[in-house]
Amino acid sequence: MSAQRESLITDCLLGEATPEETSMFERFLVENPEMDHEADACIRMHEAITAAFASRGEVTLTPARLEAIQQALQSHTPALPFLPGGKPGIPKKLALVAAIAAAILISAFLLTRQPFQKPRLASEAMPPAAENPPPAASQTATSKAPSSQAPEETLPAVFDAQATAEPVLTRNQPALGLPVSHGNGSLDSIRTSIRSSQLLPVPSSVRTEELLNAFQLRPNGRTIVSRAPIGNWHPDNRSSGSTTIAASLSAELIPCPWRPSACLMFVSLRGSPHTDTRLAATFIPDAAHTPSYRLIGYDNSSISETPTSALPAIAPGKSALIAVELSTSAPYKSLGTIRWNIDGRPATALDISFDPEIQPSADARFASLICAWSAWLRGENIPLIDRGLVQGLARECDSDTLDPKRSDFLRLVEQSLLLK
Amino acid sequence: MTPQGADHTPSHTPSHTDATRSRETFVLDAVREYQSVLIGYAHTILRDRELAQDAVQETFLRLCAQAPENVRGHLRSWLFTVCRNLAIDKLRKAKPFQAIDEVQWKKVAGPDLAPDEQLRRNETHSRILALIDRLTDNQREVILLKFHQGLSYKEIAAITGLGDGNIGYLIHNGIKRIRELLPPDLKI
Repeated sequence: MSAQRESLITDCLLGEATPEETSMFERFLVENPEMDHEADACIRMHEAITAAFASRGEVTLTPARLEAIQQALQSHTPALPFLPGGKPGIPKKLALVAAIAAAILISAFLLTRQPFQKPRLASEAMPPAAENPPPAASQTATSKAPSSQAPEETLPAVFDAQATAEPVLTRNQPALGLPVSHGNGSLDSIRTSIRSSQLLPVPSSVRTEELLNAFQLRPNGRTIVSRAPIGNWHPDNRSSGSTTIAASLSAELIPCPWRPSACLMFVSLRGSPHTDTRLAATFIPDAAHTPSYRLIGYDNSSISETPTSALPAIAPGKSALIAVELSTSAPYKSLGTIRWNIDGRPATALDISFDPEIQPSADARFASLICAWSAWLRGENIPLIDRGLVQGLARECDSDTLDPKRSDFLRLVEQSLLLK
Repeated sequence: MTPQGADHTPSHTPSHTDATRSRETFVLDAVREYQSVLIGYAHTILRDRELAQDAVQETFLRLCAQAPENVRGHLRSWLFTVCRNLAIDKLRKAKPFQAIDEVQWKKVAGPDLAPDEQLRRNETHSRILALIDRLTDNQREVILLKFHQGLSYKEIAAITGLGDGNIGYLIHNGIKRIRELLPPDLKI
C-alpha cells in the first residue's frame, strides 16, 4: 500500500478528508475487504493514544505562579478593547496604516541594502601580506592544489566572523561553487592552544573546513557514484568488472541545531581510489524553497558561482566535506541541485531535498558539532550557538564505541568549554 | 477536563460597569480550564517541567494584558499559539540538547477494570506516551494537538505554522512509528 493511501486512511478516520477522498477511501475498502482490519487497527491505535493522553493526570501551575497571575491581574490596568463598532482606544485603522507603512519601510530598507558589500575595516580590506586572507569560496573553489604536494596549512589571518555568519540570498547569488581544497593545520593549532597554553585559540586560526576534513566523515544521504573504464574497457563486457570508481558525490541533510528554520547540508566529494581526480561542484539552490544559504566557515561575501578554469584535485582515496546551511521551510521539496564535473566531464547531477523524518547519521551529527564548536570559538554572531548548544551536541556524539580520534576531539571540546 | 472539539471559552457575561472584575473572571476561568493542557503542550516542546510551567505562566500573564473581547471566541488557539511561541523562545535560550528526562505523569486507572486488565492498560498507556516522546518534535506536537486537544488540521496549522497537508502526513507517520515500536505483547 502506498504511503499516500496509508496517509489517506488516517485523514479519513480522523474526519479530515474531503468528501472526494472519503468516497475514494470507501471504494478502496470495498475493493479491498482485507483493509478493514488495517482500518480497525488504526482506529484502536487512535483510541489508545487519546486514552494515553487522558491517563496523564492533571498538572497545575504551582501556587506561587497562580499568585503571580492574580497579582498581575490586580495590578494591570484594563487593556483598551477593540469594540465591534470600530472605536478602539487606539483607532484600529490608524494602527493598521502605521503597521503597513512600517512594513513597507522595512521591506524597502531590506531590499535596497546590499548585505554583501558592507563596509569593511581598513585592516580587513588590506590584510597584511604575510597573513592569509580568510577563506573565501571563490578562492578555494578555483585554486589549484596539486595532490602530490602536502595540503597547504592555512595560517592565522584577519578573520571576519560576522561575514562568515551572514547568509547569502539566493536571488542575489543563484549558484554556489563548492570549495574542494582545504588545509589541515587548524586542528593541531587549536589543540596546542587549548591543551598547552590553556587558552582558547585565536578566532582566525579556527577553520571549519579544515576541522571537518580532519576526520573521515561520510554523509549518509543520497550518493552518486561515477565509474570510469580501465584499459580497454568496452560496454559489451561491462560485467567483467573492468571499470573503477572515478568519483562519488554524497549529500546528507539534517535539521540545523542552531536555526530551527534551516537545515545543514553536508556534501562529500570523494576522488578515485587510484589516481588524482579533478573535481568541481556547484550547488544551484531552488530559490522557491531555499531563499538563502550560507557556506559554513567561509566569508560568504566573496562567494563564487562556479569554479571555472583550473579544477582542484583530490588525492587518491581522499575526500572533501563541505557544509552549507540552507534556510528552508519546505521539507520534502526540492531545495536545489548539485552539478559536478569529473576531470572536466559533467557527471549526473544530484537533486537535494530535505526529509526531516530521517534520523541524522552519526557522522552528520559529528559534523554539525564541528560547525557549531568552530562558530562558537570564532565568536560568530549566531544567537543560538553557545556553550550549552556545543555541550549538548558533544553529548549526542559521545558513545562507548567512538573512534579514538573523535573521542579525543570530544575531550578537546569539553576542555575548551571550561576555558571560556 | 480535556477540552475537545469546539472552543471552550470560559462563559461569563462581560460587564461594562465592572470591566476589571470581568477580566479577572475571564482570565481565572481560562487558567482553570487550560493550565493543565497547556503545561502538557509546553512540555512536549521543552521537555522540562519547570520551563513548561514558566511558559504557561507567561502565557497567562500575556492574557492578563489582553482585553477579553480581543481573544474571546478564539481563546484556545490564542493560548496555544502564544504558549508555543514562548516555549520555542525558551527552547532557544535554554540548552536545546539537554538529556530528555522521563515524563512522570500520575496515572488514572479505570475503576471498572480487572487488576490485570488495568495493569496492561496502564502499561500500554505509559509505553505509548514514552514512544510519543521518542517521535520527532513536529510529530509529537501535532499528535498531541490532535489526540489530546481534538484540534482540526486547520487549527493545528494555524498554531504550528505547518502546512495542512503536512499535518496529516506527520500524524500518520508518527502513529505508524508508534505501532512499529510497540512490543508484541502490547500490540494494539
